[in-house]
Amino acid sequence: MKYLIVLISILVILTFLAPAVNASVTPTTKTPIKHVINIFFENHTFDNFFGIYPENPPGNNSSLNLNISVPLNLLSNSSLLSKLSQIPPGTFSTADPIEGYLPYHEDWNYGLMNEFAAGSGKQSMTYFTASQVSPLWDLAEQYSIADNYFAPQISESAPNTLYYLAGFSPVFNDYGPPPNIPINETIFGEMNNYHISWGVYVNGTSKNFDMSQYISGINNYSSNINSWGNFTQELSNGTLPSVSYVFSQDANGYDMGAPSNILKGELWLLMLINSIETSPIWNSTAVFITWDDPGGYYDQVSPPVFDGVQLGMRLPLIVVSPYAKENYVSNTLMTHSSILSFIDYNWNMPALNHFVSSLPLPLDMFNFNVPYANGMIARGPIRFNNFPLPDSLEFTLNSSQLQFNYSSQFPVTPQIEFSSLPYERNGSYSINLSNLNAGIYVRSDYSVTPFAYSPYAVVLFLLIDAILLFVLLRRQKNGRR
Amino acid sequence: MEEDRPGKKVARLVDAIFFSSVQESFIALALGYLLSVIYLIGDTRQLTPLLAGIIAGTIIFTIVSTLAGEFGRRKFAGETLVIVILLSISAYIIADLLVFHTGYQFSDLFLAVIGAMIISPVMLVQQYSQLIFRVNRIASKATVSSISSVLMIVIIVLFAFVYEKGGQTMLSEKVEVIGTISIVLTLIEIGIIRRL
Repeated sequence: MKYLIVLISILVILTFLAPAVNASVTPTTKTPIKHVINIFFENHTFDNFFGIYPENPPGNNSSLNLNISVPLNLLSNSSLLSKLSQIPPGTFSTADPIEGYLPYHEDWNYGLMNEFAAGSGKQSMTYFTASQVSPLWDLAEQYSIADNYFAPQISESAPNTLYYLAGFSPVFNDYGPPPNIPINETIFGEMNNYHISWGVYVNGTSKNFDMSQYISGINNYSSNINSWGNFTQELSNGTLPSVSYVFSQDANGYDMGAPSNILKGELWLLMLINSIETSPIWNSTAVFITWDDPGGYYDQVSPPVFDGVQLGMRLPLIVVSPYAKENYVSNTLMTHSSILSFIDYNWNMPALNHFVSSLPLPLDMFNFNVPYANGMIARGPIRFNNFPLPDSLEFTLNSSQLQFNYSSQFPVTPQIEFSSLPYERNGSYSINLSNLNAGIYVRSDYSVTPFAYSPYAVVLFLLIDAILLFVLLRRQKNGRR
Repeated sequence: MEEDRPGKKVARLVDAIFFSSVQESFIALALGYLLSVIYLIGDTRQLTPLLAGIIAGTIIFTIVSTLAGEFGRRKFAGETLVIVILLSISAYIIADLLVFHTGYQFSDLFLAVIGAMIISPVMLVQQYSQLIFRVNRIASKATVSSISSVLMIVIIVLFAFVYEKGGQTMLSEKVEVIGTISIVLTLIEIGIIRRL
């Protein structure tokens, strides 16, 4: 009897210990998502890519088109639509709209959104159709898209990308460093602290990760920064880290930023999505696809001020996942840092900072609970093989890819009939990490500027120069005497 | 005062041009940096209105400086210098107020106006260097002011080019490099005068 009591006691203790030991090795998640993949492009607004979604051809709709959820776009405002030019079929680029802090503010015109032609130029007043962007429209139809997602700043890449990685920015335009952000203030630092694996993937080596210049201490993690080739390899091995950032930005036009041919970025994206959908981790993955800043293109929605931050123009956000709702349009107010809030939420971490804690979570874009008619909650993979995809992630567009009839690829037959979906196909969510008492990881964000590179040093130089000039004048006068 | 020989006079004018163009560039870039508007110089699209303003400001303030200098030489030199200082400071304060009042939200024209105003201390530097290098005649003053102003614009354009090519990083370092050159030049000049 005595031995039996001891044995039961040991078993009880082991039962309690087991989950604790397990938790320290593999961090638990609040959802079935074990892998978040962030794919980042350049310079397009929501109305520029989804302005007339899902009309194809424009002005003429099939019954399937008419059934697709329509986001807030140009279709609801014919007078606005008439002011913009449609990019003709066969053309996959525009002249580069004028970019910059000042042109974007002129476009914005204190929220009136009526000076794009003056600020970014007449090329900003354009929109793409299914003839060019059917790959993106197919993803939006099969998965979830947000129509209330804004750039964090009315500015260019640097501040917006810093909000994407750190939830704040010490620079207001594309300049710097300095200032630098300590890695502990970024999502990378927080994930390090909570033992969440992460990786950054760029075209080439870790030196090609532009934003690393801003993040002091990231050089200690250069092994986390790898090439696109490493990404696909880790994907197929099932060894991808918990959170991945795939940057399309390079000099070869994969990032869709004007004047690049957007088709290159789209086919590159479909290659990635196909690789993800056929990988061993598909059932536990969420892919967030977005663009860094508006690039000067028109969007009709006046960006709101959120938590004291004047947000920038509206951008597309597409979520691809077996748990992403099909053909769902999210009206939740979001920005780049909302993806950080999802990562924090999913891995039971505190909000990275106050701004992240205040943003509504993008949870309405997922269905984690209600089974489909087949009893499953996770959807199977969808392969986008009807498009003329290249053989590898690094490629040059060929004539067959350029001449392909992209318009014919939208809409596609939905994976699950819209009528049998167990949820509404649009909606919003208002709960944030603050409401969930998740806590805050970085109480007060700060950036570092060494004295030698600070305004104080410039003032010191001015003072020294002024004093020496004064001495020089005095000596010169004395010399004359 | 002993008249300079022609060769020495030319050397002095060249000295004045070189000296004041570097000083002017440093002061314009440093004040632009402190107003944060010079950050915009790295973007080729924003460079155009900013540079247009800088060129317009240079022309205006060079003319004002030359006329004021001439007026001061004939009438009351000390008072003229005070007026030039006050004008420079006023223009700079107006630029400062415009930038911070608008929260950097302004049109290209507005940026050009601010670009012109941050150049106002050029007047002061020109007056100063003409006193230092004893440039007295109106023709010499106009020549020295014009050439040094053109050189200053060339230095600012080169600065913008290097800044843009360098990925718009380390702005203060680049301003400080020009600052160091201008300080070294001043020290050299102090040394030269000491030997006289």
